[in-house]
Amino acid sequence: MIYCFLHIFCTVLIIVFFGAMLSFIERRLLGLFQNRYGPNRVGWFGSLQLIADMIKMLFKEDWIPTFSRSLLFVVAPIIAFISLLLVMVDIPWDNNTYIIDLNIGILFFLIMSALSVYSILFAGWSSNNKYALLGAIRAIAQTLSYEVFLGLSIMGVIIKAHSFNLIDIVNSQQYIWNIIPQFFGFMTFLVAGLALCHRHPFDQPESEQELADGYHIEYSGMKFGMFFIGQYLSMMVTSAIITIMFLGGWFGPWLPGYIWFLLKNIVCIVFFILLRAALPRPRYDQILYFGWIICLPITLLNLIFTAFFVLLH
Amino acid sequence: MYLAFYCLSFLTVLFTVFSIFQKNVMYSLLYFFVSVLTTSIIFFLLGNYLIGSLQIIIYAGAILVLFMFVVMLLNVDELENQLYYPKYSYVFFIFCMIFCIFGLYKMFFCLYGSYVFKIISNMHVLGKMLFEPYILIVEFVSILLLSIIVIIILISNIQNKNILDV
Repeated sequence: MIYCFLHIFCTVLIIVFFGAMLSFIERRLLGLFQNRYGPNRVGWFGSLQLIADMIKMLFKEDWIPTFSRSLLFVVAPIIAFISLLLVMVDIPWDNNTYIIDLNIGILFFLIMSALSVYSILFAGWSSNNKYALLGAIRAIAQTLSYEVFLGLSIMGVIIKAHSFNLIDIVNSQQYIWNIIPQFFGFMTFLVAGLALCHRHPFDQPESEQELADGYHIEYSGMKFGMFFIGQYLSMMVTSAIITIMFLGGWFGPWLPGYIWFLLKNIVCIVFFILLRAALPRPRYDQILYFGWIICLPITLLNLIFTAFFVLLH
Repeated sequence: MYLAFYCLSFLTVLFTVFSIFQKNVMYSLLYFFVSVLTTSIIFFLLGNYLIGSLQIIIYAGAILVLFMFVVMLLNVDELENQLYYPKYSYVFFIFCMIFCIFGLYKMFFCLYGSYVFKIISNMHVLGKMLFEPYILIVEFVSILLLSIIVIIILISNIQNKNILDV
């Protein structure tokens, strides 16, 4: 019992710490990609930048605007932080290393991604501010459109594995990783996962030039910090799900399983950061057009062909 | 288990009633969101994990978000719920009390001794039921959805000729 509690506690602590460290790592890597220095003044090569940021956030005045709906205003960052952190509970690192083995596995990820929309909705609506409302409206339209094929692109993998359980899904990739037979599913899931995290090139809610930081305009201090870390946590969760669904989880030669899992995770995260460094932000209507007209037909065709080949066998 | 089931079913009814008699449209949608969550927890308690998950994904994740999206877009905070009149509030209160009493009577006397938790359903059974006995209804629903999509495309094209010129 005590061991079980410690195991869960340490896992959550490591995940949250790494999610916070990711802010520093991301700025450093962006500097590397864009041929400039990142944060390099605090500590050894800037490694204590995180602590400086935490001190800044903790000592800011954490005020709730008098014109806001205070209850929803407080609930929004909590949902943003917790909803995708809970998915980490479900993710197996190895054949035997997991916190809980749910039989609905991947559906739990879809549930939590559906609930994470509410954080943006509450934040935008309760701030009582026109910029926040505009940012929230954009974010919700984008997330709704992209959640449609976030679920559909995974269904091909589920048909192949005959199960929602994540361990069964990884074990079904023993001979070939799903990225090869399910390539179009992988592409669309990558795009939809980026849209779920609200990262570049899908960061409509936070478009600083037009909307003055979108839906977290009224947030300061630790509430803003929760939104900030929640975004990095969602990035980690999405990369872990991509690893499990398409990159063969912990399968790989020579090294132990969890190290392979971590390596694939890190590759996914670095790829996300590279996308942010390389791409400009498309216009809002172009994003919706791309989602409905291009990605949705590709996912549907992928699903139909996968079902057809499974029926043939 | 039984206690949890009764508490959750009571909460579901309570929040649904709240959502009907709420003055502000946004808050009534929020109460409905909570009632959807409790309904899905009831499904989980009954051992029907797939339906419970789909309840949250479809209702809470898509339909209710769309409702709230439209409410935010049209800015109908000033538009009050037509059912809300302060002078009739005690009538609604009495109605709710009668409703709750009937519900509690039903739960504590009619369901007493009957078997609430009966785990039979899984995905396999659901697929078989949908595509063997009820195949005609599923086909009709799919034709209906297709016609709705075509109608929406036509309407939007009539209103805006340049919709595909990105």
